[in-house]
Amino acid sequence: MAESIPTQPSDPHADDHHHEEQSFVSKYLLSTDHKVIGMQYMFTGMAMALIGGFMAYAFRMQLAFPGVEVPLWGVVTPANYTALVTNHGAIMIFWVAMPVLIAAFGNYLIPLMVGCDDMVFPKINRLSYQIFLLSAIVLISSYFVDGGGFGGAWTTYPPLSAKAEYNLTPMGASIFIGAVGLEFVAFLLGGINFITTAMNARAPGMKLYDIPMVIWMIVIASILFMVSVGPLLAGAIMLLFDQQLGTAFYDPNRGGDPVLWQHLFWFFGHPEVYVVLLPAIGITAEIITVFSRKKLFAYRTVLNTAIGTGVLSFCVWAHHQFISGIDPRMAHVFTLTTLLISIPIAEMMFVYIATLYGGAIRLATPMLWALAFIFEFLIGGVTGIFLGASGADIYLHDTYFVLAHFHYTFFPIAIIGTFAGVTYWFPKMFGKMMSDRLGKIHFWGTIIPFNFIFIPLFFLGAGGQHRRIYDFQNFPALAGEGMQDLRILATTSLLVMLGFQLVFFYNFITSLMKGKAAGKNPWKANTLEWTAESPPPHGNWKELPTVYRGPYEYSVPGREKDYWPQDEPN
Amino acid sequence: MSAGLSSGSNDGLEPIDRTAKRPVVANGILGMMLFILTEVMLFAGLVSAFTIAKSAAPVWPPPGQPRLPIEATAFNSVVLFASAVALLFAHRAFHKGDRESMRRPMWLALGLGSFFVIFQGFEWVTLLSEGLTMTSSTYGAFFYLIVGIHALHAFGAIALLARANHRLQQGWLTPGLFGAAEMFWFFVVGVWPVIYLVVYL
Amino acid sequence: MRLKSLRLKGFLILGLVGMALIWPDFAEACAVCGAAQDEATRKAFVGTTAFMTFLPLGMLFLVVGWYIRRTLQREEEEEQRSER
Ligand code: HEM
Ligand SMILES: [Cu+2]
Repeated sequence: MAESIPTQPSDPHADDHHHEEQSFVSKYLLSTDHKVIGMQYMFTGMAMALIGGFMAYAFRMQLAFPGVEVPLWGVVTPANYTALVTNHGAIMIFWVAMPVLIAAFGNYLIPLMVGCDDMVFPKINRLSYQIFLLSAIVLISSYFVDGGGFGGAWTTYPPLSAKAEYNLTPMGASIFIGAVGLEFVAFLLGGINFITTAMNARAPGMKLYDIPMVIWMIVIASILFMVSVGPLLAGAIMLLFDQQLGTAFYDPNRGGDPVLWQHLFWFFGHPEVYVVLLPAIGITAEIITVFSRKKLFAYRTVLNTAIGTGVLSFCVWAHHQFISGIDPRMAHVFTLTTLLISIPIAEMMFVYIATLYGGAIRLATPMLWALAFIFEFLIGGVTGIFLGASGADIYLHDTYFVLAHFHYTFFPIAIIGTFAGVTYWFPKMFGKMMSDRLGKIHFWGTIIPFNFIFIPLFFLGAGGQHRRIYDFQNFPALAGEGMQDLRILATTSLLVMLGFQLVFFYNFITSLMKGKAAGKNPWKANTLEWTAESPPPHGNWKELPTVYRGPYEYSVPGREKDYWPQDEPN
Repeated sequence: MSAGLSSGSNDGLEPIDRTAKRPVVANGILGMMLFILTEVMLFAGLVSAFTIAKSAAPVWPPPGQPRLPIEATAFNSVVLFASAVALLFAHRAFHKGDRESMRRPMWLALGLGSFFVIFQGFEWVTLLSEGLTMTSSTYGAFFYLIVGIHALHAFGAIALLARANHRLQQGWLTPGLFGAAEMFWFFVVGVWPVIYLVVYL
Repeated sequence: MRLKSLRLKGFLILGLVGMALIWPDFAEACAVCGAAQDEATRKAFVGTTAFMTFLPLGMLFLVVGWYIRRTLQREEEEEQRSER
């Protein structure tokens, strides 16, 4: 086998791509095209986001106006309430953040940004989506079985989750675990594809350090996911056996140990938060460089920092168990590592701010979302440090302070990051421009209410309001006027925010139908996806591109244009 | 290396080489390596859980529970290793390009591997009849869980090897498929001693 | 992939020394510490924690490190060849 790289990329499958007309089913439902699969993930994820958002609406109404008849749902019973919060959390993390940020953007962007025509295992890729879809259907079906949906929190702690006598959902609990398990299998298959494609199918000339940051981030996130999910799968099988076969893995009366589950769960659970964080950080990197016309400040530092974050993320997970009765010696170590992990995160934020510094900043909608990501995520990261101190956490654990902390991390990631990515790549995905004016209305209509939802929750949490409580009127200390007013403020802001999402859907649909044609490269960006047609055809390019430089060569002195696409020889 | 397989005739297991560049590791092998990383962690989780349950028990194994057949399993482990050795010979022949002398070790590896799984099955039947079940104690539960999951992996690996063997008979076994199949089998053989040490001894 | 090794080493040493200094004796820190009362289980938890933490990191260090080093090496070779 010759070792040289041919100057002309030769594609042995070139003639595959001029297919005869395909039927709707084979084109959109059974396709192995990475772009179609990416879209499938994205639309499924958005549909699940609507379901998860509706659940939040229902239980927030109950908290603000206890006992009220909630429009479109009815009275929220205690069993409803626990099932709603449980499934809201699980859906937003596993069926929204993961599919959209990793699977949708990963599928869509990896082949386009590394310059190849498809994933290396296209059929496994399709299988991955099909399993994912199945998992979503299975999860939703749990609401319709005997006993209803599972209500033992997304963390599924035994003994509550292990015994039907306790959780009162004999079927729902097992279906929940089954759905999560299926979803993991889907992402395992997807992850193998992402990593292998990004590593092995790069365009000729694309060196490791020429890979765009978002691709690196998705790759690192996939690796983190793959090495952390094993123990949780083991734990989930054991939990399923406890529920269905009557084993006693987590039953302290019969020789089991409930804390064992927390170990296995959080071993996955903490790396998981970085699994969703890293892609969002990558998307932000692409956007801020394009819209400030500057080179990414310290590419290698960002990359090494991301790797460092990945390494540290395996060493912090017991901070979720500070008051579960873990060994105090362990708590100390985990306090330290938890505080340490904020260093690389802060470093990344500084790099981004340094990138912005002195740039020709243009505040288009994607840029607004990217800036908002940095700003809002910082609040989430900083409050995490409070929680990481094990002494403070004894008081704060399981209060709304924790809840506000992780919404200030997850919302920027899953919602702000997604909107940033969608508004930025929409022209490529559909060949049309989105309306910037509507985009900005939607932006402010989302960001302002978001802060009004969660800032009050920090205060409520610090005031001792615990999570997962159906009706605070039963607790005199928590039922006072002042606290109830804050709850009403949060719920009202949620309603406003949900309402503004209509602007997005309106913008999405009208832009699809009669938006301005986008052309190949509307943002004047460097990365390879902008050299393909918009939308790219099956096979992406007639002739695969060759890469000559890194992705962030903006405003290079002495050049006429302020950008320098990766595939231009000079 | 893709030997002109188009995505149309592809069955999904056979990776497609997308670029003219030669990758550091073939796609199929890299994919399998990543998969094995996950699997190692699955077993790490199981073994850790077992260790914790064992440490919490006042007496281990719990009184009144049947003992595991240590000697018979030692013999069975030797069979498993023999199959890995046979596969090594097949590996050597494959990389010399000598497909003819690869056939016998392939069949041998497959046969010995299947023997291992069947022998385990008989062991389970005996243990069940002696009263060791998933609900009789955490001891039994962990035994069936860990060994069962290992057996499932062995099934999968044998199926993959059989597929590779089938391709070999047809004359178009690719390095990607063979590499992936043998890696998976070596993984199954490789975790067994850990399980034997932790669970049986 | 050469990390800026000096600074990193400094941080690592600082972290390790810090941990050693505050490594506490056993203390019942809070009212709910009921689980894992006996030392054997405690040790098992600590041991498996270390095992599960360092196993993936070790595997990744070997596999990914090897892969990246090979790739960089190859990129260098290709560069030299194209220069000639
Ligand atoms: C600077 C980095 C971070 C630090 C120091 C940190 C620290 C913590 C700590 C100590 C807790 C436990 C609080 C308790 O339960 O008492 C916690 C909870 C949580 N964090 Fe973070 N965190 C950080 C970043 C993130 C990120 C990036 C995410 C999400 C993408 C995240 C999501 C969560 C979630 C979901 C929980 C609550 C889990 C639950 O109990 O349901 N955190 N965080
Ligand atoms: Cu955490």
